[in-house]
This record gives sequence, structure tokens and C-alpha cells, in this order.
Amino acid sequence: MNPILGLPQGRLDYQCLLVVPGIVVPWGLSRLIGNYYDRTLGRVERLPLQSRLTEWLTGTGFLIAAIIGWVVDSLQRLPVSVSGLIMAGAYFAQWWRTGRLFPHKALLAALLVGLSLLPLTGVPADGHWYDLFGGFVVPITLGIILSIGSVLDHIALVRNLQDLSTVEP
Amino acid sequence: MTEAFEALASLDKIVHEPARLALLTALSACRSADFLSLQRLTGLTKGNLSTHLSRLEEAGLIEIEKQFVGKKPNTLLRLTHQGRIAIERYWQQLESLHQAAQQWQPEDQDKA
Repeated sequence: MNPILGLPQGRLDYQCLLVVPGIVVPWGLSRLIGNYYDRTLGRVERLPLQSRLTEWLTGTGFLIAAIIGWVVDSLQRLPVSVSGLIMAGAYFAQWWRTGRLFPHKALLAALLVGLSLLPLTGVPADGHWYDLFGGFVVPITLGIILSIGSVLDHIALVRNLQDLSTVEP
Repeated sequence: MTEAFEALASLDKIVHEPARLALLTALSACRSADFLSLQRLTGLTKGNLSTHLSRLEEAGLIEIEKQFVGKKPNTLLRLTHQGRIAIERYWQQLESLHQAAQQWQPEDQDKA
């Protein structure tokens, strides 16, 4: 039996199949959410890449850092979650760069720092997050926090649009 | 400083109007935007937005492209080269005025 999924473990490891919904579900959701935003908020085409080089470099830098963090977490079993700290850094940078207007980004960064450093206090008993529930606890926790962050981003976006909509004809 | 105040009168009236300024500023931050996004952003009614967009198109500051997305009509707006120059020049003028106003001393006027 697969210890995580409770499925029989044969020649094909069913755990590998999780990759399929892991790709298809976010892709489908992103299409649905994209269509929803187009219908309700309208469609905006971004400036060409050369006009937003800093943004592209920042995004790529974060992606590379996230991959490195993930590798370090899985190989080193450190008493801190490096990927959690990198994500906290990304939220903090977003909060700072957007003029400190979105307090939820700072709160999520603080929450991630707290969770990432929690093993230093002896919780969980193993002294690190990675092995907890077969290594699933870190991606699931980060995924939940990312989802909460996205919902809060949406609420902030809609509220800001309402605040901006004060131009007199 | 008098020149700086005089420059206020020389601001492009097409650009200076608040609703059109909001539209041009929004369009300057992207390659193109559709009618709905500009309506959500500015809070203008469809009629007012159409009127302002027509004025901007007549002045050669924006391009209006009508297309279909699926079966639904969609109006796409983008700044022309002239429009991008106009909005950039406008903000530069305001910035210069702001700096001149900060340096202004009432005595300067007395001396003049």
C-alpha cells in the first residue's frame, strides 16, 4: 500500500499520478479565473517585455530562489523551512514595492516566517517540517497560504478599483 | 516663477481634463486595454467614456479597434505614438511646475 494515498502499490507508483491533477487542475483553474477577470474587470494587455525588465528579472530571480529553497529543504533537513522563508521574502518585497498599501502581504510574510522558524522551538518534534506527513505538509501549507494571499489580492484589487472610480465626467 | 505659472495655461486641454487624463494615464501603463477595463477603472458611464474616447481618437492620441472575442463585440484601446508623447510631456510639465512651485519665494515676485 502506498502509505500516503492508501492505494495499492504495484509496478506503477500511484503517487506519480498526482503530477497529472497537479498540472491539469491549476491550468484549468487559471483559465476559469482568467475568463472571470476578463468578463468582470476587462482585458488589459501588458507592456512589452523591455518596458518591464525589472519585473521580469525579479520574477525569474524569485523562481530560481524558490527552486533552490525547495532543493535545500529536501536535501538538508534544516530546522528552518528555506522555501517558506523565500516565499515570505517575496510577500515582503511585494508589500514594500506596492507602497505598503496591502497589509495582508506583510501579515502573510510574518506568518510564513513564523511557520518556517517554528521547528527551532521543537515543533514538530523531528526538528524540521520536510518529513512531516511524507513531505506533503510543506507544499500543502505553502499552497494554502498562496491561495489565501490570492483571495486577499482579489479583494484588495476590487476595493482599490472602487476607490479609484471617482473621476467626475 | 511667473513663467512656470504661465506654463499652467499652456497645458494641453485635451489631456488636462480629469477623465481623459485618467484614461491616458491608464493606457500609458499598458499596451492596450478594453472598454470594460477602462470603465471599471475610471467609473465613467458608457456614454461619457465613449465621448471622451472619441475626443481622444479625434485628437490622434488613441487608436480604437473593434473586434469580436468569441461572439461578443470588444472595443480595444491603445495609445498612439503621439498620445504616448503627449501624456509623458504632460507629466513632465507638471513635475517641472511642482519643482518650480517648491522653489518659489514671495520675494522673487517683489524683486521682479
